[in-house]
Amino acid sequence: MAASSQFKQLEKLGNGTYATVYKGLNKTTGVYVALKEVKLDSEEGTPSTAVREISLMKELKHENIVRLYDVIHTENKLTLVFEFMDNDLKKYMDSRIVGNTPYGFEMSLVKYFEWQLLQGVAFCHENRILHRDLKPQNLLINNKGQLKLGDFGLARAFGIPVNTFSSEVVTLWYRAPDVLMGSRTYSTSIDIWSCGCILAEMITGRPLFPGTNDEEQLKLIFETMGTPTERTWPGISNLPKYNPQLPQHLPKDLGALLQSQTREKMDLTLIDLLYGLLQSNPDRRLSAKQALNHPWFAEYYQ
Amino acid sequence: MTSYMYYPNYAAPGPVPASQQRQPFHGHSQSMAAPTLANYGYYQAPQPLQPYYQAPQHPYHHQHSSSYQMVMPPPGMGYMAHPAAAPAAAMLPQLQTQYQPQMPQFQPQSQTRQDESQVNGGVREFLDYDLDSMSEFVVKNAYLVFDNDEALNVESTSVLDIFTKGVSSVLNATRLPSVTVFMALDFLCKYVSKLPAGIDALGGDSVNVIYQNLMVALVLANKFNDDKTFTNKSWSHATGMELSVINKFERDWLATFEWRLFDDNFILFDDYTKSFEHFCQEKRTASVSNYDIPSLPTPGNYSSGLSPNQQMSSGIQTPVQVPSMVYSSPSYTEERSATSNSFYQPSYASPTLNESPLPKSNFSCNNSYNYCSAPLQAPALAPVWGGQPEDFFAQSHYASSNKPYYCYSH
Repeated sequence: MAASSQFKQLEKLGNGTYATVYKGLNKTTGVYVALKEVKLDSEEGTPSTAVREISLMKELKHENIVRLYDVIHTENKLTLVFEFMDNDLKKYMDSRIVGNTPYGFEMSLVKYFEWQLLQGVAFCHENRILHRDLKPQNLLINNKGQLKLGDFGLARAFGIPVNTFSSEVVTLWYRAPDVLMGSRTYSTSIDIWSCGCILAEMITGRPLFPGTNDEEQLKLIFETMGTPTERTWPGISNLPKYNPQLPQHLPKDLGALLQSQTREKMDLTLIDLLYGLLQSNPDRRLSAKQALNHPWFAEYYQ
Repeated sequence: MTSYMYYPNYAAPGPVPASQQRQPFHGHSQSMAAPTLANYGYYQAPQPLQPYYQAPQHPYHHQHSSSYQMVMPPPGMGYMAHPAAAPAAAMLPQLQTQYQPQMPQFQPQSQTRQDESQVNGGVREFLDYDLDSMSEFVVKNAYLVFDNDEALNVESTSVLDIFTKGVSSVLNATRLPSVTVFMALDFLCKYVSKLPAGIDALGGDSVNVIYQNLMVALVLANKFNDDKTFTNKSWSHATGMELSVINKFERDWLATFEWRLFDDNFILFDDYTKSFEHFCQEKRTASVSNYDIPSLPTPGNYSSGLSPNQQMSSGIQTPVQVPSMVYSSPSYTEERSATSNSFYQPSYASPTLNESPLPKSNFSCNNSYNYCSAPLQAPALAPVWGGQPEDFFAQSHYASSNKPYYCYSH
């Protein structure tokens, strides 16, 4: 167990969901770290987010998941010592906006980031952990082009019965339609939808479904992906917030839609993968393992 | 006064109109709606807990903006949603609409309201276990972890009864799902095994030590496993433990576990489930063979949870008596499962109910149906729920040494 005196606190890196993150320097080793500081409130006790994040990340040692080195727990402050990463995907994408025009990444970088994202997600799912808050802000990158999953404050274990899943998870733009319609029985597919949204966003530089509320979010999704029906998605009408009066939309050509927003050439296997990740019906969505085996990634495993 | 009372589960004339059903929700706002409780008539379960509503605004200023305090918690439990990405304002209506369709449709409105208060306050809408059975199961397991044989005695002691009551109150207030309760037992077992000096490091196997560690196990299991969690202050109200003690225990526990609460993916979950099923089975068998079950309609799983005492009292109690008794000692309706069609619903007086415990000499033991509950109340009440600094188990020892105080022979 480290002491906080072991670290020199440097500049502030940002505010997480429940904490402030600083860059830090390990004075004994000279290694940079990220110090996530959580102020403790005596009435609350240890925040459940911290209990989750720490206990789950302790089990997740993978090159595409940010490493948690240590935890310093005092009476009024909790400090999580993480591996230092140079940037996050959101800031990196923002840095590429020229004027008001966002630009996506080169296709090779899109592929490498998505591959690493799916590797990290697959490892979580193998370890029976759902991230539940995948979005560009929570994907950390470094100057070597590595991408790692961070911020497990909303994560939780699954595999044991889950009676109390909240449907209030995942930032709106990356939230799956089944979750938007109040499903509480979601599983790994919840993270896969986010991976699909992030893939599209890396291609175009723009969020795929930037809704401002639940209804608009669903509307945006169905306008592009088509309105699901009981035939394409058996059981949909039983979802708590299913609206039978949903306007019926036919699916648009997602490939053409995205291609119009990027100068990079999108090949058919990429479009096929996007459809596999962005299935409205959660049962039809690819698993992380399946996605990694998709032909679009063939160059990585051949 | 008895602590066992039966609400008549009146057959409602028909479905409550949706608009009426929704009505209680309209009072919900982001601050806890304690004032609106006053309209709810005598079924209002939370009434005894109102003392704890006095300071509902917990300072979560440092927290993520979308964590919020839910309205109308049960016994002293401030509800806090798992911080999520959506703003709080957007979350409340969603929760309402989700729970709405699952409301029992054929109940008097007052009861519906009571259900709602539990829905909103606890983790689960319906308990997925019999409260009595689970409480006993939890206590026996906790005793076993501490190598304390007391729980195995056929003649259960009064201390054990009080302990079980306390656990029952906490479970009823928090409405933790069974998986979380089992996880807490798993934590407790692991925790003791992680201590180099074993239970001696904790101060032995006294009830107090067992109780406090069990409660902290529940706190951590809830924080780890549920999307609805409670603040330690709420846990303090529910358990009678001082906030500072819970905080310290929580830190000690996390340090001992090195925060690794999920290192084995809760591999024993199935074992706990089977063990509990077995426990309930045995309990059922025992109660059938040892007692004549009264000719009351006690169908389904509900009858399995009745102790002999409850069965007796249920034969005597009539619905007519209910209203006045509820006033004097409000209770919580237990396990209102949608599948249960038992006419009488048992309810349990929570130890909170009395702000001032009855003077010991004042116990009225003149009614035979009282005999099991009266002795339990005095020691249990003030300390567990009353927020008094002292642990009630110290008092309970005293109580058990004063046999005349029990009215077994009436």
